Amino acid sequence: MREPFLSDDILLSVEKPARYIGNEINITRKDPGSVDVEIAMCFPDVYEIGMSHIGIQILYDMFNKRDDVLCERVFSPWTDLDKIMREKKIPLFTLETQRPVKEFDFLGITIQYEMCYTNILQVLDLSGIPLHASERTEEHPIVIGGGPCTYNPEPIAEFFDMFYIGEGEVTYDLLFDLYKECRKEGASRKDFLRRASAVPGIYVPSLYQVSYNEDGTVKEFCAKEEGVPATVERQVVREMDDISFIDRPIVPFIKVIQDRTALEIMRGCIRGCRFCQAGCVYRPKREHSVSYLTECAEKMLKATGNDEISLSSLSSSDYSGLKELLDHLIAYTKERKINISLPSLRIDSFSLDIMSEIQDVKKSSLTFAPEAGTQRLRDVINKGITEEEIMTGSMSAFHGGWNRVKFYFMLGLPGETEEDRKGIPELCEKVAEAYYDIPKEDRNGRLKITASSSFFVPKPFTPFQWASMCNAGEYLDRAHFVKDTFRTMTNFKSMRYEYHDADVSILEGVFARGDRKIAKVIETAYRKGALYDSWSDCFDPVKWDDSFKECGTDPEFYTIRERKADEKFPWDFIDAGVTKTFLLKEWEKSKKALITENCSVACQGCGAAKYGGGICFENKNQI
Amino acid sequence: MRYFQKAMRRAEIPIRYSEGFSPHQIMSFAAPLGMGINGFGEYMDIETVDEKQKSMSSEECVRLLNGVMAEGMKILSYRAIPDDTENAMASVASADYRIIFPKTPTEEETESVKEDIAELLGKESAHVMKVTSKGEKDTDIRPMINELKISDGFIFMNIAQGSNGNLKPQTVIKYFAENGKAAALFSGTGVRIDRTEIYDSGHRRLDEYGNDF
Repeated sequence: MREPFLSDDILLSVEKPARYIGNEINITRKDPGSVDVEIAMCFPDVYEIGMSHIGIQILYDMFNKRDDVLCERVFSPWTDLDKIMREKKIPLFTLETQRPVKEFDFLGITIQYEMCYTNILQVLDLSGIPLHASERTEEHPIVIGGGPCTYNPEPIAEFFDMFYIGEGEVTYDLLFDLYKECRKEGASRKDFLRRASAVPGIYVPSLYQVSYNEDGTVKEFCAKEEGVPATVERQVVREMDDISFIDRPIVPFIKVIQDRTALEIMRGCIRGCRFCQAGCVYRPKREHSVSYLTECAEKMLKATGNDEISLSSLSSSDYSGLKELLDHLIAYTKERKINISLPSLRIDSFSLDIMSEIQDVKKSSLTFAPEAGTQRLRDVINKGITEEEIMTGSMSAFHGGWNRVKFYFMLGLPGETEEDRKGIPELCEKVAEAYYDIPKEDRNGRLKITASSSFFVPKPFTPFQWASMCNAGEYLDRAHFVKDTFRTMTNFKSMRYEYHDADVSILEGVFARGDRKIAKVIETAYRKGALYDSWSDCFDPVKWDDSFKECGTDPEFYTIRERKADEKFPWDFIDAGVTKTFLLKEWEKSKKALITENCSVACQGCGAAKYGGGICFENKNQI
Repeated sequence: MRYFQKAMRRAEIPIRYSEGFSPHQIMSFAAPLGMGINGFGEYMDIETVDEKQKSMSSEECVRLLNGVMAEGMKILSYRAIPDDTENAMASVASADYRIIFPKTPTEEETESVKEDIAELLGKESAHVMKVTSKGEKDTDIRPMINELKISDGFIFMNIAQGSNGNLKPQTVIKYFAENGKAAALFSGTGVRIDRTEIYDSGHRRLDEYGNDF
């Protein structure tokens, strides 16, 4: 058995030492000497967060299935261990063999949200890898980034040797084969990077240069050398059942945030909500077959012993085989006392039937995501849920015994007015009144409505990538107004209203649509000690304010400024399937509050049909 | 706890679940093992479903569980206890611990330890500030020490454990680190603590309660 890299004394002096010792059930143990490529796979946050992420398990399993590849995990050390590691000069190490990250060929970092950027720097720093890709030598691992934030990698491009854009199942094999070839030939790091840029989906930032206009917008983005592709193409799995599933998911020793088996039932979404980046960059909707899923579910549950399984997708109600799948799963899980969790469901009679069968109605809550308080604004954002659906759904639920409802909203959406903001408490009030109209003996006690607002952040590759944000003060004013309006509602006592941190949202906005100039700000904040920015008790807005000022960068250039239709974006070099023309059309439609039908009703010609699979071909309605 | 719950499922042990809407496995541990301490003789009780259990022998259950254990963890026995037995937690009265120093104590250090032990055992009470999650608490450790000696370079002790008096081996180490000639030895880092056995009030090993089947 491997000895932990950290001494007992250190382990016993930090919180949750099990974060750092590995040795979990189902990890892959391979002899490093028997493989040609070693990858340290990193989720740049603490163990419990990283181990809840299904993507890292998918890649870990996929890489380790190759005999010539070894993949091990590494996560951000918590602040207590971070301090000790810097004091005692202990290098960051992987969990499986407890070896320094620096010894690996690749360091893969999955980038799921913008607020982890300083943690990325922490991982590089503690591993002994120069933060700037330009300073790395032959002895350093190749640092590669993947995940949703690669759809605008420019703010962190400086820190990465390459990015993989799109779904990991497609071209990693090519990349590793190329790496092996280059090693055999004795090719240099630079040679490898140059040749890797030809692998579909791979973006090597050092091979491109950006120039800016007087006003700070992008003037030109182009390859520095001949033969380097002008566009990087998002990689898409065409046939979902062709990919292998995770045979033996790792079972953590400590309780992680998502302590259950996650079953990905499909990718992509047909709805076309205009604020949603995932809905655009995972197009087209592609499903796994029911037989694939039932086999997968049973194998994963048997291999882990987990007591809960969760069906994961962007909009599970749109999975065509949902009833059949659930019939199988309920039969399998009921006798084994395993819970089924079904998030992302539309609330209708079908889903209510299912939920009452699998959940303790008294303890669970129903979730609606209207996102906007009025139908007009819902039409602007193309969120196809009507007040009638919400009322009907709620009433069915209340008759079924539910008495807890959650509503998700956003503030600061394009074209939002005071009427729209008032609509939030007014909608909740309508639902509350409907509840209390039910005779006491037919309902289940007091109603609890929780409404929460996040602050709208425009994302690349959405129709709203041209939109402007508010400043922090304005967001907070709007949130206070909504809160005050709640207090005037008749059934206020049954409601609770929460909102997010405005400063974090602003920063997220800068990173989401940022350019290469932002890298300096991130590094400056990191050197000031910014870390774990996604954790409310660690986030320090002062460090960021100071960093922006020191670097002479104005965050409002990235957030408040509304973009012109012909502006070049830092992420335009990526082909994500959905065309800029389509997105611009949607942006114009949103200004008139015109809705766009979903993919199963009629094809809107967004561009994703070029991938040759999924809903685009199940449906013959073409525009 | 969650580790063992999942292990039971992986091994397909016919463990029984409680009634009601959120059923949980009927399982309890004899004595929680302190963080950082190695356990060589740990115990837990479970209830199983008769119809399924009777077709599975002890040996088979041990084998199934060991097939799904993490590296470094091993199930030693799986025994049936009479229905009316008190649960493990209620039976626990004392436990054996072994303290191993990073370097084997010298002859001189060993003599000092022997003297310190003799002194402690000769007293009626011995007070030390016990470290707890809420701060420090004054504790008299003497009545909770049943046996204490140094032999072959290890310290061996049998101390009170369970609801009728619970002493942590770290508290004994702290006492020696603050009193006596061998204080330096006990104050060092890298001291390893093993728990090797758990007993009931009649000094019967918990293992003896049940029978293989």
